[in-house]
Amino acid sequence: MRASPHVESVPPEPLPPATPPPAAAAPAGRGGLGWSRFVWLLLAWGLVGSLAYLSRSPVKGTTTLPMHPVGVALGWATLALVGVFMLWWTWRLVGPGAARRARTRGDSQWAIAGRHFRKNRLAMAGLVVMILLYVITLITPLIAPYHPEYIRDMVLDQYLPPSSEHLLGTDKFGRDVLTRMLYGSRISLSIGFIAVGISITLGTLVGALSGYFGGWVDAVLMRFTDLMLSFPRLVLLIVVIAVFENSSIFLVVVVLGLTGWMGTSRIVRGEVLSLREREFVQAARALGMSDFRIIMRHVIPNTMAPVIVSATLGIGLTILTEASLSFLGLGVQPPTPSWGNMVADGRDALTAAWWITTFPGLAIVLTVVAFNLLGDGLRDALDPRLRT
Amino acid sequence: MLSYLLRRLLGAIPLLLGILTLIFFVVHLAPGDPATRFVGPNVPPEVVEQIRRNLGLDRPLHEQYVKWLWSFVRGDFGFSFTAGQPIVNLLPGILWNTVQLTLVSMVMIFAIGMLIGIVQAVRQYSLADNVLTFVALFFYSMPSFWFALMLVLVLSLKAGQNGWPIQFPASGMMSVDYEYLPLGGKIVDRLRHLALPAIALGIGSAAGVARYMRGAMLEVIHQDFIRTARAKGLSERRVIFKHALRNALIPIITLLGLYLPFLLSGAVLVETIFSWPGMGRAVVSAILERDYPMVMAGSFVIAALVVLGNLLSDLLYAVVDPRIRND
Repeated sequence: MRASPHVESVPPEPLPPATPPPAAAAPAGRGGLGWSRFVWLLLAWGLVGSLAYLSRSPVKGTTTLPMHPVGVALGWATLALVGVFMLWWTWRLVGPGAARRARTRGDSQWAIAGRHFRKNRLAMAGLVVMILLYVITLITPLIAPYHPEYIRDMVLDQYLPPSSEHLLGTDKFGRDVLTRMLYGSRISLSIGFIAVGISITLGTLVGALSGYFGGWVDAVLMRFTDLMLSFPRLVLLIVVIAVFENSSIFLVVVVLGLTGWMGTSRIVRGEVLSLREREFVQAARALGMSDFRIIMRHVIPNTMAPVIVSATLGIGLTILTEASLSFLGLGVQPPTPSWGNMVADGRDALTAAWWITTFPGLAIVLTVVAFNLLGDGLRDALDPRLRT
Repeated sequence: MLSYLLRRLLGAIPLLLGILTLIFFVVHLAPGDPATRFVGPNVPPEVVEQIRRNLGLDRPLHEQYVKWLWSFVRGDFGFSFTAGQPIVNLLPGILWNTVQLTLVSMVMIFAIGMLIGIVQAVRQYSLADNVLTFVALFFYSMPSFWFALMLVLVLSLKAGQNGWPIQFPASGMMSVDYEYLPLGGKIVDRLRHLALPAIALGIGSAAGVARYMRGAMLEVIHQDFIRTARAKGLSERRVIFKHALRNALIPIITLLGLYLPFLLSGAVLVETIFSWPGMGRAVVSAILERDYPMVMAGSFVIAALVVLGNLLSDLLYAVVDPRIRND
């Protein structure tokens, strides 16, 4: 297996001009853009969108602190910068230049994986559902039939069964379940993306440091990982969140992120242990590069394949965990809709109004199934041993 | 073997100490004061001060830590604020309830999961295999609390209203007339109450076991000795269950310990829904009541159970695979 061509230690291999490049085997127009890279792009956009949404959300209960105008300006500036960077990155990956570069470089590891991935119909279905979710969360205010907190008549409108007026019925305050589910998807997905963003960053760093340096760094970090792993995640989460006595969404996101990194760090450590002995790392060391530079430029980019798998699977798991927390009343607080607290809401009226609990639960299942299918498909595509 | 066991046991001790330390500092460094639980309009400030002194909260943190750790090591978990009893007296009953639930669930997980995995592996790439794979993924991705509510809705409420032959109680551990039942009736009653929580708790893990079992079986089925067994004329049933299953069990056995954290995490939710008086519910209600000694004791016991489970799975692995022991 050849390392990714974007790693600077591996020079792009010029292909003999006489033979057609292997990239031609891929459908025309796609160039060297592997689907896995496309998924990276999607995940990154999801993360940025989630950050933008949660920090600027008009939905009550998400912003806790009154912001200083300078802080607001700084926030907007950061957001704009990140947006520009993301646009540039997207252009680099899918623009016309990408196809040209791919032709001169031949098949990358990612392009090969992409071909395997596209053959996997279930994984493609997962990807389609994920893109659909993106679209829905982006245009929620346009397609939602009502406002999430709109109450027309609390007595007459409560517990209305699904009808043409309220497609999925109404809850105990007479709010439209479909509308709240659509707005809830924004919250649930945002939490999933940001928490996983935190946890894979942390997990990759911990894993890379402990694998690269070994010795006592490894011993300390891995003991700490074992320690964190021996708490059932939900127990640790409820203890921490309850002890801090302040259920803002940001606390939930940060704590979810800080309790989910252990799996990633173990996987990355395993990869780094073998990468450390490879020739290109030795060459980098012989050239006198600093450890920091070697880790950032040579080691971590080569561990990205398993990390994207654990990120995709992690988003599903985080959405589930957030729903559990909200269900226990420790996660997202009403009236902000999240799928978890909607299921909890409907629990009081399980016999009278089954639709309040059932539909948000189905939304969770659908989302998590999609992310799991995508993650499994990516794993099968990226691991050469699992390719059929 | 004995030295391996000893080494593993000794290795678990620093881990347990680390867990205790983490619990202590999470609870104590957080904003908020356990004594505020006792503050009210009718409580004079001197009394609150007295309570703080009694709880040892006026001491410096490191002193509290050492004292707390020492009492924990001796098995003194302190007093529960809500029950007003030493936690050591409460814990065994609560723990036993959770163990019942977890054990029944575990048996169910492995029975169902392994059966499905074997069927899938024997009929690889058939319609049944694909359908089962998808169904397993569906259950694997399902939030257990939602599935629990759906079970209550269908198998308890609707079944009760419509008078279906299969109907399970939706909450609690025993019926009202439990004390008057004969022994057999008691067991049946307890199992009826266990059915829904055990299913809700185990279904996701059962799907996971099925996935592992399929993989493990497939790996074994393609090996030479299976072909030999078939070639010498053994019946297919004997080949699968006697020759293949035994070898496929090796990776599965280690899952026994690894599923424990998942089950205990799930128990927090499932016990809350079915009002099952176990560890999970005790921790959640202790947190909502700000009963800090109970929170610390409960989360320590759960973490210790997980460590025990991991130890158990390592030991089982060493028993079935002698290569591990000599590492």
